[in-house]
Amino acid sequence: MTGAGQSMIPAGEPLRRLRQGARSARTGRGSLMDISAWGVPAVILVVLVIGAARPLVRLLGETGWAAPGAPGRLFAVAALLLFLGGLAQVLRSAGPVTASSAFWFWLLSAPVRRRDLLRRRYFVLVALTAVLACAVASLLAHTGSVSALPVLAAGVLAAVALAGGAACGQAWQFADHAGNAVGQGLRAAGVLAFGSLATGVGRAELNSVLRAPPGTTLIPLAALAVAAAACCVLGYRALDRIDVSVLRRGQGLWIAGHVAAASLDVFMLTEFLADRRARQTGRVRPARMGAWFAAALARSEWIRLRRRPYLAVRAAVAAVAWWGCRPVLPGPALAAVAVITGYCLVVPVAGTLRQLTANPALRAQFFPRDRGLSLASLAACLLASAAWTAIVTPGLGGRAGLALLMATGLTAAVYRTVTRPPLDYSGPLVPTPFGDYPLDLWRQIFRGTLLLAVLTAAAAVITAR
Amino acid sequence: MKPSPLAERATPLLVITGLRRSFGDAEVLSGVDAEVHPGEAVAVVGPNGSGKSTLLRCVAGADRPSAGTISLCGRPVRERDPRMRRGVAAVLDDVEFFADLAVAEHLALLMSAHGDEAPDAHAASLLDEVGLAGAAGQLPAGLSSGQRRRLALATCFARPRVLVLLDEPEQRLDREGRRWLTGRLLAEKREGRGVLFASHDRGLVKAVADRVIELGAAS
Repeated sequence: MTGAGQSMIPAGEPLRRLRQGARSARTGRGSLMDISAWGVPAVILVVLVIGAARPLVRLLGETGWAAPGAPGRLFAVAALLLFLGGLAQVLRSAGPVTASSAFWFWLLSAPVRRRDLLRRRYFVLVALTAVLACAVASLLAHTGSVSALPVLAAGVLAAVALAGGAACGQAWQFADHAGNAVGQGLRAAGVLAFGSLATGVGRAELNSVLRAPPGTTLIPLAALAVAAAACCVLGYRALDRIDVSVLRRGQGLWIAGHVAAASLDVFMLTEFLADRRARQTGRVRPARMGAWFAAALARSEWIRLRRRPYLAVRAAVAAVAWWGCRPVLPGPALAAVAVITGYCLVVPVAGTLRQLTANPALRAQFFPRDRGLSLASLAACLLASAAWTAIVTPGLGGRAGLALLMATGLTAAVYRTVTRPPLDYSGPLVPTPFGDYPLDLWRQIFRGTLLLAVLTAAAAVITAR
Repeated sequence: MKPSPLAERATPLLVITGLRRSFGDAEVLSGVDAEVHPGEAVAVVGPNGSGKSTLLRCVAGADRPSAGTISLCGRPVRERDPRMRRGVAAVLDDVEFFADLAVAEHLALLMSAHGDEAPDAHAASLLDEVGLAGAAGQLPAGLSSGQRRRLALATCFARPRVLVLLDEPEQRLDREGRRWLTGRLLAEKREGRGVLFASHDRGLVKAVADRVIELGAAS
């Protein structure tokens, strides 16, 4: 290679145009049937988006859910902080700028400016993050019965800053550490704010501090806007500095998420995450199982929970947040949130049951004691449901009947969900605008979730009476 | 572990008669006949797509034959039959593991489930045998593909069995691992168990198999 050759860096634009040209050449020559294949779903999608946007806009115009005098501003800020903290963590885990194996092999290995190739991915990421933050901030503002505009602006600007910062984190290690610290700080601040809401310590003071005159709100918003713009530009400039190993880091998560969405099976994603965490854990000190099988079962379930400390942390955060919602949300909504949160917390506890159902080979290994393993997992589920019920029952009026219903109902819903058999592709296919789907898909969607919906409605009705 | 009296009573252990398996128009197995006696190893060989895995899956009850019969110890093979499942140890596909249990804990729990009186000691000894003693405290996600294969094979030898079914057990094993596998399968034969395995490794087949079933190429 000559010196002149070394200094030549081809632009990415022609390459991208070539790729786009190939795509349009492939799709452009399509018949009327081809157009209907993408046209019908597109029309349905547009109708769905308009259908969803209209009630949302109407909702924002109405009075919020929080009763007059409730600490709605503190609630909206606490929830927004928690959401942004979670978003920072998700962005960091997912990449956020990623490249598939094919993209890496065919395009990124070429001596083309990386920024030219990754630019569109980056802008899509920032736009999607902003849209998500917009939807969540609107909902939170409405729930807290506070003016939507400042919450919305703060949420969107902070989310854009986080997206840009996360891209910087892929290029520079110190930015990655800083992004991680910011995420943790946001989550901690959110929990503290919810703690104040739950316990009443400093609640009135904080809520009144947040009632700033309209002029003073502009200063922090302007600062956030500057930070968002700076992070966005820095993130864009960082695209040239991201190497392939970092770009491929989040690929597994995207693939797992895609497969989970296509198969309507969230466990494909959660199992991938559990595997990734286990890989990071590396080596542990093996526990002794002992000859008595019942004790070995109890021990194995305990070990599994002990090695997932984040489940306990998540449960503690959920408990604080739920009690923090109590001064703001009406009783039935609070009961519904308690049931759905409880379900989300208990499902990961039933990991053994899920694995035994999904893997007949694993079940066969333990035969005839595989039932013991299932029962131990179910017992762990029941204990987790009972613990969550014990936490929320005092906040729901201490009704013993509701507590019993919630503990058993949650266990039953989780049992139904995790023992869902794999999708049966051999059954009849139903034609839909999105392609032919097996009839068994309905079972995949409704098994467990239907029971959860009934339980949620029942809990809301009982609380309303 | 000694084979159960069931194996000693029945001769032959496994009988396959006129086994056929079709997927749509494609007939993968067309009239396979075979027997496996106690203390005997039978290898299934053939090119890719010749139906080796399908045959093993039918024997394990994980797939239903289109025609023909399979009987184990004189009883027709049905996956839901507890006696059948109790007697057959199979490693056909990649085995799944519990993400939060260490390698040693997996084996100890499995041995405890099968009534072993000293599961922890026996698990340690088996791990030593399969060359995973150093990985006893590792979680399965941290194992290499070869180590995962060794652990999967170890689960097969950690439980009571009269018949061992293995689909290409040599896959992903290094030379030392293959040597161990050969020794282990010979030991299985000596202890009176039947072994039916599919393999592409001529050395393993030659060293272990008493008889060979050769399946044809896919049409």
